[in-house]
Amino acid sequence: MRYLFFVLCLAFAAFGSATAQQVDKAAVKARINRAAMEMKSMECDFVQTKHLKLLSDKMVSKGRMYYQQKNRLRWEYTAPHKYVFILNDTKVRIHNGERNDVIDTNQNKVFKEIARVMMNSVVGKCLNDEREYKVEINANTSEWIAALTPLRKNMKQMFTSIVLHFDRQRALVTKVELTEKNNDRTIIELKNVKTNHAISPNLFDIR
Amino acid sequence: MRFLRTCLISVSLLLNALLTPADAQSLLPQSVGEKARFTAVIEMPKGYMSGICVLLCDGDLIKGSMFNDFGITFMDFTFNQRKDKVKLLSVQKMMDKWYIRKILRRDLRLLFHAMREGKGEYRDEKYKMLFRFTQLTEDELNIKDDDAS
Repeated sequence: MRYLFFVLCLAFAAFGSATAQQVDKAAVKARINRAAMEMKSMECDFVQTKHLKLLSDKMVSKGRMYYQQKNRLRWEYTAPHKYVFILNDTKVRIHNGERNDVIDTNQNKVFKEIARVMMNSVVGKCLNDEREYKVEINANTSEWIAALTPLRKNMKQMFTSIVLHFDRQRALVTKVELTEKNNDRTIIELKNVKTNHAISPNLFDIR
Repeated sequence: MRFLRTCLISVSLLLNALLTPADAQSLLPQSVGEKARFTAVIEMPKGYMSGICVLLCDGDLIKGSMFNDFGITFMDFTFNQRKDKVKLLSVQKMMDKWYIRKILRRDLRLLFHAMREGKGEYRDEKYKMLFRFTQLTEDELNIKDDDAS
């Protein structure tokens, strides 16, 4: 019996170390920052799944994302309906088929926060701002998993946590999990990621 | 003669059925567990919010959630059809003011009345707000399940 207990303890210890490895937080951050610096542009498909706690339901959206250093992001939903969000420095353009609006993020706090979260998450910049988030990093064999807890009031009002999954080989974000105060979760998976390809500047056109 | 009379009555019933306008179909989910999904727009004098709204029928209660395209929730609510009452369960911090809640409760209730009659739009003339819900079709929602996590 004592032997069985010992074997089980060993098995659990081995399982634990395989699923959540200790990581050198500073080294992981440095590696991710280097990858973010080297990444002049990025484009990918994304699948977004919103889990609705109240309705025990989920809603799936799909689209394509383009990023260009330093402050350009095009987040384009193609299904279930068309919606384009373009961030170009401090300006945001939203096009939803019926309307085409340009917003200055300096004058609209909500859009400023959304734009910041989306861009800093996909690039992995979120990890750097220690005044903004408490960051914990874990790892498994293929991923680094960064759990961010917002510290600032504006962010705390929207999210209870942001979890970023990084591909260890490329140090690129592959998945973002946003958890809201009402326990709804939004999972954004980035697929077919291409970096440092030429992207037409027209895609970030605000006019 | 009897045959002719039967034929005339049949034709008259058929014409009656064809020419009488059918009751507008409710946009609200009707049976327990049924869901309906909409693109949702709320226009206000100083801006607008757009996103998706999901409604679920839970007996007398319609449960609903409205969120923007990025998935960030604007509000969770219930509409008690028997009591004709909207309850806001959570509202995004920016809009979480008693006077905004009051307008939202009233306007959502009136929007649901319109939706029961097949109309996905309600205009609040007093506060110059427009609520427009457009039902998403099966084709639009046909995103492969293996894509979702």
